[in-house]
Amino acid sequence: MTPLLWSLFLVPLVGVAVLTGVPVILMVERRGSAWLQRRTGPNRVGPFGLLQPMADAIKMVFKEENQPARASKFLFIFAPVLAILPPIVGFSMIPIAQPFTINGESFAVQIVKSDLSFLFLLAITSLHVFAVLIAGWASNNKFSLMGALRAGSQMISYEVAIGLCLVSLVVSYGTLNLSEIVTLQGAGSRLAFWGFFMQPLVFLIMWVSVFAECNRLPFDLPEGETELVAGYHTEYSGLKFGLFFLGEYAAMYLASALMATVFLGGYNIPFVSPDQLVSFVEGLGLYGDQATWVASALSAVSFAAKVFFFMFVFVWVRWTLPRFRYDQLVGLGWKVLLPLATINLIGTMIFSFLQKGAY
Amino acid sequence: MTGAETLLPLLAMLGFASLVAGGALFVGRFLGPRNLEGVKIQPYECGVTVSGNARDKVSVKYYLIAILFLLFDLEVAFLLPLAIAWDEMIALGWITMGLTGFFLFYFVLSLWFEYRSGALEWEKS
Repeated sequence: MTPLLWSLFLVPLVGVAVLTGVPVILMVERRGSAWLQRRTGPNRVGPFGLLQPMADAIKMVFKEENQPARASKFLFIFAPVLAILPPIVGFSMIPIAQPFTINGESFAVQIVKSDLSFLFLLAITSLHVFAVLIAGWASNNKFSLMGALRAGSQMISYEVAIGLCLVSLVVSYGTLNLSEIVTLQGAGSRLAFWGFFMQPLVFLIMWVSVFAECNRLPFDLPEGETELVAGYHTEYSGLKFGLFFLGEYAAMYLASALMATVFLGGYNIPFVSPDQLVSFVEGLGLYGDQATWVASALSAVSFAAKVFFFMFVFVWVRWTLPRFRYDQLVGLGWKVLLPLATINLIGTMIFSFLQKGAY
Repeated sequence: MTGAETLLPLLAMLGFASLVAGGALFVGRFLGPRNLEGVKIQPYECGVTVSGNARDKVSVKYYLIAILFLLFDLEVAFLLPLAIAWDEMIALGWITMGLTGFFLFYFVLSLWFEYRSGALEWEKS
């Protein structure tokens, strides 16, 4: 097995994992919201209502796909495709588990091993705004267009803060390579613990911005039901709507995975370095390559736990905070997060200069 | 790590995502009923008779936000190469800090100017 073959083998694995993760979080969201509001939630289909997302999917497949007469036909069909591409492709940059060996050769559990993976990931995710804008424009519906305009300016407002956060992170990590960033956070490496403790302010700014980028409450103004029906996907039904839905939840997964990778040490288990994990597994009676396989699987579980923590907070916040007003949203992005990110960047640069520079 | 080892998996991932999207469009086209006519294909406006076209003039505020985004994102793009080479740059000493400070001074100045001129206000009171 060559590294290239292994990467190609990972592609359907990761893709299917993301697509099956969506119904899981959907169920967590519906039962979780019911739990937070002291309701029962869907509990009829299958044991504890666990098959509800399947029933929804089947219903969605057999629904009629609406296409308004005045819509731009090609763009109307193209927009849902564009909504699903960026979140799935972005997952190819995420290091999912620690490297394992086959016959002494090391294999990284990451589809695209690039030195620019962090930058590329942000570039890919920022393409999501085009899907929203195209959908709103192509529908030729007032609600859709308003929703798309709101979504567009909301996403680009918070993009600037994320960009400045990226610069701060690069100054302190010294690299754009996500797998190197994860290695640095491992026990026994330069940082020795989670990046969150190195850049807490960036963590906060990024987290808030991620909510806005994913159009989640408290920033779900693009589809505020009481004002805009369903925002940019008002005219979509059937599987075209399904693609938007899937793309939105996959984008949440991607954002959670990015936050976990950059701030919570990725696949690292706290206080345990990858080598220690391997020797721990060897202590259980496995040797050589097989020990690295099991250690790799364990680190993947650690990564999944961190991702699900962020996913749960997405759900939790949705049912806890009310929606912002639009001027508050734009004000928060430009007048609070952007100056904060700038101050943090200046502080990071001065600190790093005093620590390592020649003066 | 060769170029093909980076690019091929990326293209494969893109192919996988396109397959999902194309499959969904294909399946949705043929499995559901298709009876598009009459009032159903009019733009949805809460059941009221449709009036006018959606593609009308929109508020200038959205354009303003987009222009501000372009300006600031360009500055971020200029900062990024500096950040990547930061460790080598600060080895040069005060000259790096001076030039970076000069650039960031203008960044902060422009932000302050826009704040004071009210460009960042959504609703002018």
